[in-house]
Amino acid sequence: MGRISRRELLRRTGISVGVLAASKVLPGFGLPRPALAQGATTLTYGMAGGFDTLDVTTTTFTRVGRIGLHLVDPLVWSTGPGQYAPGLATSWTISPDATVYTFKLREDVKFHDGTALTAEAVKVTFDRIVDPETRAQTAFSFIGPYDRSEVLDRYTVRVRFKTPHAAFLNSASSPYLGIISPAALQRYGRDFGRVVFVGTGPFMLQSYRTDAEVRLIRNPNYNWASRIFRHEGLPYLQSIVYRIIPEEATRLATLETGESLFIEDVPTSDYQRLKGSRDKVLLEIPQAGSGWSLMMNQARPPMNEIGLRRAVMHAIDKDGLVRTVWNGVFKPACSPLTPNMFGFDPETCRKAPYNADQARRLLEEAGWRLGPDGVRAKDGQRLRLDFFMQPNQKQQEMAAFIQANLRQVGIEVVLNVLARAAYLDAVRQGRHHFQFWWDTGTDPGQMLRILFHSSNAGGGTNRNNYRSAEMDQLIAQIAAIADPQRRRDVIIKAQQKAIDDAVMVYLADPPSLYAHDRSVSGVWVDWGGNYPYFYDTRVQR
Amino acid sequence: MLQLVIKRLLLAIPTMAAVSVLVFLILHLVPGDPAIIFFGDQPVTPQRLEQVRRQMGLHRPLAVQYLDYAGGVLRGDLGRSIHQGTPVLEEVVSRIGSSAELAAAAFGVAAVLGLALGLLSALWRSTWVDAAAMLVALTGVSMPVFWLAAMLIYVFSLQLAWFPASGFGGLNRLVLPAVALGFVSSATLARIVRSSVLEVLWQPYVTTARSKGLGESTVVRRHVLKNAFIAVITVMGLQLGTLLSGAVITETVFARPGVGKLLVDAILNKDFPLVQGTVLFVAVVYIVVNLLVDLSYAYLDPRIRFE
Repeated sequence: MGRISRRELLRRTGISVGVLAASKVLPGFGLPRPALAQGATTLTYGMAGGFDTLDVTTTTFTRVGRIGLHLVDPLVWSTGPGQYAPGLATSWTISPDATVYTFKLREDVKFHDGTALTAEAVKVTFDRIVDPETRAQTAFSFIGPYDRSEVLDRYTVRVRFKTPHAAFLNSASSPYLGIISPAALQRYGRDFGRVVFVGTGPFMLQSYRTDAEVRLIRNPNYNWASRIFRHEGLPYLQSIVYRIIPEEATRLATLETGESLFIEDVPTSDYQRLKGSRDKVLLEIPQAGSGWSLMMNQARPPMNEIGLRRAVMHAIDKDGLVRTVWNGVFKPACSPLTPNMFGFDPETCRKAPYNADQARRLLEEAGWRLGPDGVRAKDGQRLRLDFFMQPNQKQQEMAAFIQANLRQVGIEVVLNVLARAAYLDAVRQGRHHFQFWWDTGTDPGQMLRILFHSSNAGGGTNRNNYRSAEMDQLIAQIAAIADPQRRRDVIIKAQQKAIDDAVMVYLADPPSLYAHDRSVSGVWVDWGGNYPYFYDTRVQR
Repeated sequence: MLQLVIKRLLLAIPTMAAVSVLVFLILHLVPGDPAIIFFGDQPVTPQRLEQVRRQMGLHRPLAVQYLDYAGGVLRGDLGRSIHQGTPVLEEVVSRIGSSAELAAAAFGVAAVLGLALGLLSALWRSTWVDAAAMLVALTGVSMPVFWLAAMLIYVFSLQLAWFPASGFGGLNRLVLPAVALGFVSSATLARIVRSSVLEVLWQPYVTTARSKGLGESTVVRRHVLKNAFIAVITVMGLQLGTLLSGAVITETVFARPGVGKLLVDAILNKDFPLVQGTVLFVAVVYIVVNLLVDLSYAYLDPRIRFE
């Protein structure tokens, strides 16, 4: 899609509203008409792809969380790293060992089907997450070592864990643990999440066409908004329409024609243009979690050599990579955690700077000698490493950049691009030397566990196949310590350990990029950058 | 005639069976464990992986899996997607409307444009008209559909604001994707029309018709087109099938749900029942279209009789 000058953009958006209005009102060929005077109360949202189900309990898609947050209410809201405010729960207590959480619920809340929110509903929702029949994924890992829930009285519920779960408030603030109507679950069975979804949220599901659109309408009884929002009572918007527009150029075009008022996943190539726009607003929120990084499989020689892994850490020019591949919009990464995560250690940024000479020295020390063709070898074995990735434009660009960087220090990298099924087979079996990783989430303990815990090695998510008893212990401590200050210290220790052991290379931290029409105001996005929430939102012409 | 239809429909049964066995085997030869794909990059214990594999029914021997599936199909049950648990029939049916609408419109564009270009260049053979028409056809053949689609959005949605850039429902959302998809397939058609018409144009019966004193337009309509159409209809039939099931790129660019996209996603996920169901649907479409094409031969060429 060609670039468009700013003046063009302005001219175009003048007629954009007409396209939407005309296409809604007039059948057939909609010609532009002047904007309608009354404020539109529908927000159209351009979504970057489809998903599996609308059921927040069983989904694996962040996008479902984005929609779902409007359909359910979380028990608590997260207002910053490690900070929580009341949601459906008015207050809570946590046992010192972080195994028992007791929530006191609001007493004035009704599900969309008219039934009342009670402690029993919380229990049913959580029990369903761990039921093997449900095949929950995201919610399942969020709920962690869940044991059971006890209904203490109509509005008090006690949640017990088998082992400490200090991250549970963070989990409970996610849409995936939002409370679902037990009556509706019973009534709709397998259709729940597919054609119906019943929560307590400010919006209700009106219709869902797979791969096409999801329509939400205002919940006419909503009167239990969290005090973190700017108003009380009904949401301002009458409805929200999420339309699935996978092609990014098209998605951007719909923002400019007015077919979408809000879009997600803005391509970095359009960052500058939107940033300078007068009638579009670019939202840039650093994404919490673990940015783009490189996993190095220690189970496949010669990647087991720490000298080699250190050399790779120094050989990659992260600044250059960020500028070349991500138009300078992403930030060079330092640590397995993004800088906005609780416990991020700024010291990590000084630990492995780009230094090709240092990389060469490390390789020499490890006995890798430069051959006549510029590739190193040791004991007759060439330094040739396999990089496995999926057919994704940006991943291939990053890989090509890294390949060139490593070639500079005498490492040959072979790029293997495989479709999802074959890729997962290869990396789970450990046939790779390198693979990419990216993850988003707001709990540092969970991120570190996924990357470094030995229980996730050998075919799981720790495709570094890194095993360290000390690291396992640090991760267990992070889960067990409820006290923030002590927890922070252990998180810092774990990050330093990961860098000292040269487990991975941290490449680029992405922001979440959204864009909306200037007529849209009052968009709330969680601090982790993943969930734009439209309770306070208005559309004014 | 009726006999032919019945015979062809009976023949369709082994065809479908062969298609389903082939698809089933090929899918199993392709690397990748659906349970592993299901979990993707999520943390999972081996026990849980095994549990999901069982829920998907993958622990059973291949033959059992297939026979169980085939038995379901015979009872009219296409099964459920192993990934999402939704009924396959519902998944396919929910996309047919959008796909059929697009295929029909694109087919219309392709037919009108292809016939016009082909005829023009054949009748004005070796003139600038011929060259111009074939240049258009050549452009169509060589132009990637995603590029054409993006350009159409740029010009007609962004610059002129005549049509919306995305979605489906309503004629105005259909125009751009139909033109993009139809134009590309009109190019193939134009070339077939040209060569078939040229072939017929030199037949003795055309000369006879002319020498009888018939006007040129009557000659073309009655004698040339009707005879040239056998090849053209055959190609058009095949194109219709492709338009219906192979419009993935167009569907993606214009953000339309469709059978093609459903199939590609299902293959990437190794969702056996969903792939099977979608492929069976596509096979049925091809069989029906081919039958219609065959029947049309009798109309076009009276020498062809179905016994």
